[in-house]
Amino acid sequence: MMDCQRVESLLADYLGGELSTPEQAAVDDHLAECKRCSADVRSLTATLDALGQLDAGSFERSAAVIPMRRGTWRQGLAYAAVLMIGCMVGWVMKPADPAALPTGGSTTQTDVERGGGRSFDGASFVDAKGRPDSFRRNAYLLFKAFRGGS
Amino acid sequence: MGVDAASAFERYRAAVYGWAYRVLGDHHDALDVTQDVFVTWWRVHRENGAPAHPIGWLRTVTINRAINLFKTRGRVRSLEGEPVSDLAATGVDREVVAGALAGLPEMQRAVLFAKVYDGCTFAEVAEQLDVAVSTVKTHYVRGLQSVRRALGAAGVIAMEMG
Repeated sequence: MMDCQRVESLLADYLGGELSTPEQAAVDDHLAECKRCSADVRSLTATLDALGQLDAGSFERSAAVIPMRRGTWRQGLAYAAVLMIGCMVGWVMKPADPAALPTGGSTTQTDVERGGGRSFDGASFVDAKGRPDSFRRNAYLLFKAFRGGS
Repeated sequence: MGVDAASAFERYRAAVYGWAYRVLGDHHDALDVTQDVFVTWWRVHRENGAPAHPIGWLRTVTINRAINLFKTRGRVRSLEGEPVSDLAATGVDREVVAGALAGLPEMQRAVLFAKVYDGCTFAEVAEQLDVAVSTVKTHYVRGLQSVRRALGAAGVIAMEMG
């Protein structure tokens, strides 16, 4: 049977779920017999459970509207810069998934063919799963505003 | 170069938001951090070239920014007497858990996030952070032990000793 030192050396792999089946069984056998090690593993597992309960949120929810309410000029610049990045995706790059193209309006592909990006006139953007992608839409609208509404 | 930054934004923005949200638990704060991180990416990418391991770079920068904002917000909200926790429904106090994460060294935080939240293997984390696998495992266990101490002291988990 494994001793405590050996179990300790395998602790990361055990908690991280990366032990082979025989090794895991050997550690489990030790934990069944050793109160100190089993208490240690139980509390670390509880720690992992607590960490696991932190919700990651939903980016779909976040992408609904870009809030501009926190009014410092630096944040405003940050928003603008990142929105520009988002816009560059739609303007410069051809999406791998055709479903990512805007819908609800015509799409001009000639710029893409010329290698100079494309222009959109559609106000509705969807992601690859067909859900509204307001982040890209906002980026597009902001970029359009920067360009004087062209 | 700008195309790469835009591509990274499109590819990783949801992950970045998720990391930030885990720490902050606030939509607007997480969004602020997401945007801030990509502005930083854009600047660094343009000036110094793309990071060798984009996910490792983004995760580390995002968590650091989120932790910094968490500390600032925590102080402000504490002064205002407003609770920041929104995890009552899950039985875990976000402020305590995020506070425990905030107290970790950067590498331990990055490893825990990669392993716990992104489901990476130790080998993947090692590659992303450009360190040895054994180092990652050490950071993982030490990080967990530190978080356990913090959660135990706050009464979130039972500290049993065999």
